[in-house]
Amino acid sequence: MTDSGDWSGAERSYLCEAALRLLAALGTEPSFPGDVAGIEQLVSSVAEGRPSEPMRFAVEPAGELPRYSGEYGIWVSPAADGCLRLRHERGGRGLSSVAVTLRPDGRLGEFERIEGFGVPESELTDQARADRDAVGRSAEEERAEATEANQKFEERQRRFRTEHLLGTVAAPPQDPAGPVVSFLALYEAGVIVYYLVPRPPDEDLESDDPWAETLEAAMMPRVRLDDGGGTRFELADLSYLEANGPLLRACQTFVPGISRSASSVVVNIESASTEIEIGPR
Amino acid sequence: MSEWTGLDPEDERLQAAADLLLMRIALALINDARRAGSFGDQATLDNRLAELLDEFGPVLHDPQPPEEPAEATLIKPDQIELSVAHGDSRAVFATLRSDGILLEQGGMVGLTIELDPDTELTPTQLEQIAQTSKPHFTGQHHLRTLPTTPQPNAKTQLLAIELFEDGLLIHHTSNQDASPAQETTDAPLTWPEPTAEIKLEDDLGTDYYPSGGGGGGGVDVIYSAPAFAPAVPEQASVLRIAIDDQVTEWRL
Repeated sequence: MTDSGDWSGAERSYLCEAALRLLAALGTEPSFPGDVAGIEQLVSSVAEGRPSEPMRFAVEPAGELPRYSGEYGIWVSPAADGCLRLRHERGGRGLSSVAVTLRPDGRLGEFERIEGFGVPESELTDQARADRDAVGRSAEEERAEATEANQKFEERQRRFRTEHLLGTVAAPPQDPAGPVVSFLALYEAGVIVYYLVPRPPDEDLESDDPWAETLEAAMMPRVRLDDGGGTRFELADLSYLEANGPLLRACQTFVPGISRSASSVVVNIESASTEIEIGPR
Repeated sequence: MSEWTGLDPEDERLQAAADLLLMRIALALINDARRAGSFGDQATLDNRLAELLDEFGPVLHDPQPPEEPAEATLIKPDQIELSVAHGDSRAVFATLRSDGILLEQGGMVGLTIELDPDTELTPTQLEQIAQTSKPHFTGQHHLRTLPTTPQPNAKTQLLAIELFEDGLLIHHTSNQDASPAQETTDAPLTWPEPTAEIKLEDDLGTDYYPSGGGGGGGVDVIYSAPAFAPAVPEQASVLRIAIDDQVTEWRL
C-alpha cells in the first residue's frame, strides 16, 4: 500500500471510526456474522453519531468485485475467522477505496488501497460496469452543482467588497439584558447586522444531548428585517465573532440591500424590535 | 509545510501515527467494554492502557518520545477520554462512548517554557511579559457604537467602533486579493491576509494597547475587529483612528 497524499490518514481514521461502532454493536457475541443477512442486522444496530454527519454503511458479499455507489461511506462484508472487512469509499473521488480487516477482539489488519475493481476491463461484471457508469454520472452532477454553488457564493461575496459599501449606522440604545443590535453595515446589494447577546448562564448551556450546540444557538437568534418597502430579505451568511466573552458577538448577512427609499429599518431579534434611522445614501 | 495542516512532513507523519495508535487503543478498550458492560474503573483502565502500549509500541520513530505516551481517563462508566502524545508537546485526543461513538476528536499543542535563572529573555518574550501588566479588554459591557462613512479610495474600510467599559473594538474590512475560484473541494481554504496597521489616539493622550479581538475571511472579502484597552475616557472629546494612513476622527 502506498501511504502518501493528504487523504490517507483521514481515510484510515474514518475506517477506524466505523470499526469502533461496528465492534460496539457486536455486544457480547464472540465473532462477527459470517453472512450478508447477519451483517445487515449488525449494521442496523450501529449507534448513530452526530445527526449532521451520518455515517453510511452498506453491505457487500465477500469474494466479489468491490461495489461503488459514488457516496462517501463504508462497505462491510464478511471475512474469514469471524472477522469483518471494512472498505471506505470516498465518494466523488472516482473508483478508489481503502480497506481493512477488523477482528472481533478489535485488532486491525493492514490497510489496503484498492484502485478501481482490481481486475482488467475484460473481467468486469455487469454490476461493476453499472457502478462505474453511475459513479461517473454522479461525479459530473456533483461538479456541476459545485460550480454553481461556487459561482453563487462568489457572487454573494462580491456584493460585500469595499467598493459597494454605502456606510454604517449605529442602533439606538436597547435593553442590555437581551440581544442588542450594535450597527448595520449597508451595501448596495446587501446588509450586515452586527449584534451582541448576553452569554447564557452555564446551566442553560448544558444539555443531555451530546450533539446540542447550545452556545451556537444562543449566538444565532432569528433576525428579521423590515424596511417598510416590502423587501424580502434572505439570510445569506452567519458569522460567529466572539464566543468566549461575557457578551457573545455575531453578525448575520442579508440580501438584497435596503430599499433606497427607506429612511429607517426595523430589526427584529427574536421578540425584541429596534428601529434604526438610515438617512439618505 | 502542508497547506492543509500547517505542519511540516515529520510532524504530519507523527500526528498520523499517533492518531492510528489512539484508534487501536480505542478499539481494544471498546472490545473490553462490550464484553464487560462498561469501561470499568480508573485503575482497570490504567492497567489496561499499560498493556496496550506494550503491545502496540510507542509512536513509530518518534525522535522525541514523550515520557507519558498516552492517557486514558474515565469520565463516566460509559465514557472515556484518550490522548496520545507525539513530537514536541503535541497530542491527539478523543472522547469515546461505549457504543463506539467518538464525541470529540482533535489535536492539541502544549507549550512549556522552563526558565533558567541565567537565561536571557528575548525582546519578544520581554514584550509578552510586559503585556500581562497592560490593560485587558473583556468586552463585558457595551456602551455605544460609533458608525463611519466610507473613506474614498481606502484599501481598508473602517466600519464602526464599538465602545465598551474596558476597551473598544475597531471593525474594518478590506478586499481579498483576487484568487481563482475553488473549482473543487480539494483546494485548501484561503486564509485572510494580515490585518491593517492601526493607530489609535484621543485628545487626552491615552495609551491604548492591542488586546485581542478577531476576524474572518472569505473568497473576496476579509473582516477584522481588533480590540484595544483601556476604554476611551469619559472626558475625551476626540477619538482619532488611522488605518493604513487613512485617518478618521470622531467628536465624542
